[in-house]
Amino acid sequence: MERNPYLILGIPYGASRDAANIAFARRSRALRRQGLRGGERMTDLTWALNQIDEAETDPGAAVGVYRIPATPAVFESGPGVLAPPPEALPGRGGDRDTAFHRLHAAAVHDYLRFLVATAAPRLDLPEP
Amino acid sequence: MGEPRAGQVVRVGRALRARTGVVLAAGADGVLVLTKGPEPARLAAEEFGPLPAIEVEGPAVTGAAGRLMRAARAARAGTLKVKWDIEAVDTAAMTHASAGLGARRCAALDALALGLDATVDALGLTATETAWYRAWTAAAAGDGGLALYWTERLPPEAYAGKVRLLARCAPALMRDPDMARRAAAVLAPLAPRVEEARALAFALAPAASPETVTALEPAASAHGARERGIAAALVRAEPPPAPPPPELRLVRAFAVYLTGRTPGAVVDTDELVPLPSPLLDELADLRTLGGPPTSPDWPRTVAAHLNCRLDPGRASARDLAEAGFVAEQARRAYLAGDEDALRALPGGDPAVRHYGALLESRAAGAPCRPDDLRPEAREVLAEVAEIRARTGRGQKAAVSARLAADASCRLLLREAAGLGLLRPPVGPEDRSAFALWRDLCVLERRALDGEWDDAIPRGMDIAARTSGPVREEALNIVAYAEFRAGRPDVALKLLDDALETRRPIGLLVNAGVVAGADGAERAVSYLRSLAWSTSDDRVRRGAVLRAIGLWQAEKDSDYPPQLRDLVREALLVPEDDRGHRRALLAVADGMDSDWLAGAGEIPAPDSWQRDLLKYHRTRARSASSKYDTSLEDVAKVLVESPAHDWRREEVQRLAGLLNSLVHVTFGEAAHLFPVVDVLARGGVLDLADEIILSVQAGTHLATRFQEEDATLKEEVEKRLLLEPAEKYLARAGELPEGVREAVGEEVGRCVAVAGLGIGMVVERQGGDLAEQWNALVDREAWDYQNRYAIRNSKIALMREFQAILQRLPAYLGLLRRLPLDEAAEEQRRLLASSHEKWSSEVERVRSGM
Repeated sequence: MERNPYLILGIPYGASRDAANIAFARRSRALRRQGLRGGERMTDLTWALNQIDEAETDPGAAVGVYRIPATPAVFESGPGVLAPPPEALPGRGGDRDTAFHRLHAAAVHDYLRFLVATAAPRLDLPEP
Repeated sequence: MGEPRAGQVVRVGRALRARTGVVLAAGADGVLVLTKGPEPARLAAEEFGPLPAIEVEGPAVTGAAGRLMRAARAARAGTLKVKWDIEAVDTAAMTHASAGLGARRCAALDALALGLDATVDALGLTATETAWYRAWTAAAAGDGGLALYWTERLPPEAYAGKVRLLARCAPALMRDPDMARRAAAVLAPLAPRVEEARALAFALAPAASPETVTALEPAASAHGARERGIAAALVRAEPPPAPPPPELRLVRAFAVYLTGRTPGAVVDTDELVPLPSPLLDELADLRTLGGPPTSPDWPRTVAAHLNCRLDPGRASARDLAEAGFVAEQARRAYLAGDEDALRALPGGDPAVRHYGALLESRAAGAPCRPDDLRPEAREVLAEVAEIRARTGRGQKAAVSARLAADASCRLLLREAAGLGLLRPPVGPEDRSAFALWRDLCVLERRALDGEWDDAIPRGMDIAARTSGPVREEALNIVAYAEFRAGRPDVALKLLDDALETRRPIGLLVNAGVVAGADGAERAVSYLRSLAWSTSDDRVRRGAVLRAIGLWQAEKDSDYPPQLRDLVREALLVPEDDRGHRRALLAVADGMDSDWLAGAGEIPAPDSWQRDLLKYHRTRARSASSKYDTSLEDVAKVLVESPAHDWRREEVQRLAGLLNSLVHVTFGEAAHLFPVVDVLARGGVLDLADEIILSVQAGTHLATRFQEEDATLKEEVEKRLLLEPAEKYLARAGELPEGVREAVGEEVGRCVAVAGLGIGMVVERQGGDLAEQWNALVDREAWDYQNRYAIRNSKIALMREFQAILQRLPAYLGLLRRLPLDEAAEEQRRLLASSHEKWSSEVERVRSGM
């Protein structure tokens, strides 16, 4: 089974280098208290920190390491005050009634002109 | 009108003496026809009757005067060839026109029709009457401007017929605002009593008035049912029964707007371009707009405003800027954690202040600048801060229902939740969802702390209580616990269970990792699913390469069909990553050559990929029994391809292959000569490879020829043996130490073997020569008649032999300068001895000739 640097350091998959450094410090401090017994674990921790520090591939693109969590969003995301939905843009104001009446009158005028224009060629002239 | 024959134009006389005549008058005593000069001739009615009529060009006229005026006009214009006096015709026309009031009016109309305006004034009619005739004639001809001019000269209250004249010219009048204004003035006195005048006046007005609507339905009465229906609906401001014509954009926009006010309706946004902003906003509020604006006719700022109103989350940054939508700009900057972008927005805007404070609060885990935060955020974050403070001291904390329902704050509570310090509120729905989340955090913490024995029952308990992503995550953690406990089958089963309804990328990666421990074939199915589930090209490439890597790590494993399909699928989608594309082509050409040889739809967007694809396809075809493609064709593709970065590596790969193939017993690799020849002549090989492969190919070929008692063509010998050997001698200094010596020895060995091959042919042919020569000498002794022919045969024999013998010095010269091992040195001595022997023999014979 391939070694997993995140699980060795006890941090979620894809955690930042800063988080890895903090975890390394905390765990190595605990190991130092164990003296020589902690030597092998210390080697593991150093390897794991180095793996995360030196990683060339973005963890989101890596496919060879087991991910815990597999879907980080389950733990950290969802709607709420820190993840606000899109803002609503209010209307630009203006008098809707006036706008309506003006538009109505203009539409009637346009249609009247259309009727007059389309009827013209069909009109009979009076006797001269 | 008038005498029906007067003004007629007829042909008078016989064919050669025929003339054009015009009837000036007709009566009971005959017909006066003018054919020449000013004097008419009188013809009896029976004489005139058979005369053929001549069609005269010009507008239709109605009276005798008009016909005479038209004939005179045609004669003046030359369209009617006449010999008569035109003025006599004018006089006759005026005589007819003066016959009475009716004749004058008729003549006036005919004159106007003929464009003889001056004639009208001479008819003695009143100015008003002539103005009317002129207006009528202009309207009939469609000349709106002229018709208007003459109607303006009619008495205001009289001549109601002028309304119709103007109505006929309405399109032209409406196009010209000045004419429209003047026409309205003409119509105004008649409008109170003539409905047509009233409607026309409203139509000609530059804008609508409150009364315009009253004219609409009467105006529509002369139209069809469709127009009447639309007019009636417009009057009542109701959605029309049929859409107005497309050219009436404003009318259509109004109709669509009316429809859009109906609850539940969905209307075409692009029809609403002429709509004023308040009404567009009204439809946006009603959510009846069918989609974002797409028409290029939308003013940019209006389109931006609509985009922001209809779908603020998807509006572009440009839309936000053009619509001045600062709140959404601030929200996006906050979500991106972009402090600079937030600072660039107006600092006094409440939304900017809120999101700036929210960004700081998110980082701090507590409300920062509370006065700038919106009240709800302020209260929720205050509770978060209080809980974090308590749990930071190791104390448990209760979570309110409101905070429990706010999933966005879980980021700040995750650590406390993992430590089991959060007490969820008691209640259904989102509260229990919070409890599950808290339990999942505890499970994750245990797993990360390596407490795997505890993780399994805890995870299975969560999985049993829920569904969806939380369950998937619980199963994921349990699966790893099983995997690390040496139970990969159980782990994979759990992951399969988690993947049953959704295909999250992380779970597929994990399934690939677990399955990969059991071999490539099992892992490939998950990696294939991963490759086609992700939208991240890097993950897709990683999945394909991992599948290939797992398979390649298994020595002597068959090429799994699932991997074959995955590589094929990956090759059939466009690929920007050249290295990835090259790796896949290399696998396909090695393992799936029949498919690659024929697959026509592999995309190659640039010449780099096109040339690479051509190369690998040629390789695949050379390996496939279905194609008559050889290694020589592969070499040709390499030579003809531009110098892409991959070409040098592929040339080296092919050179390596050829090196392994040519180092066999001389003669066995003669078939490789064309491949080597293409590469060497193409100048793509490294110096050492070019020299070694050339001399090897030449020696294999020479040996094969020698076995058949033949020799290489001199041109081939020169290109593959002598010139490469000379090139070595000239450029050995360019080769690195060690390589230089090895290449030199190989060249020496090959030249010695090839030279000795020719030496053996010389020996054999020399023996044959002696026999044939002696036979000719014997024959010469008794066959006196043919001595001349015998002598020529002897010369030919000698020339043929000398031609081969003369090739040896080139070899001997090279062998003297090349480094030779012991065997090659011995071969050189044998060759020199042979050459010396046969040279002296030839010399001796030649001197005897």
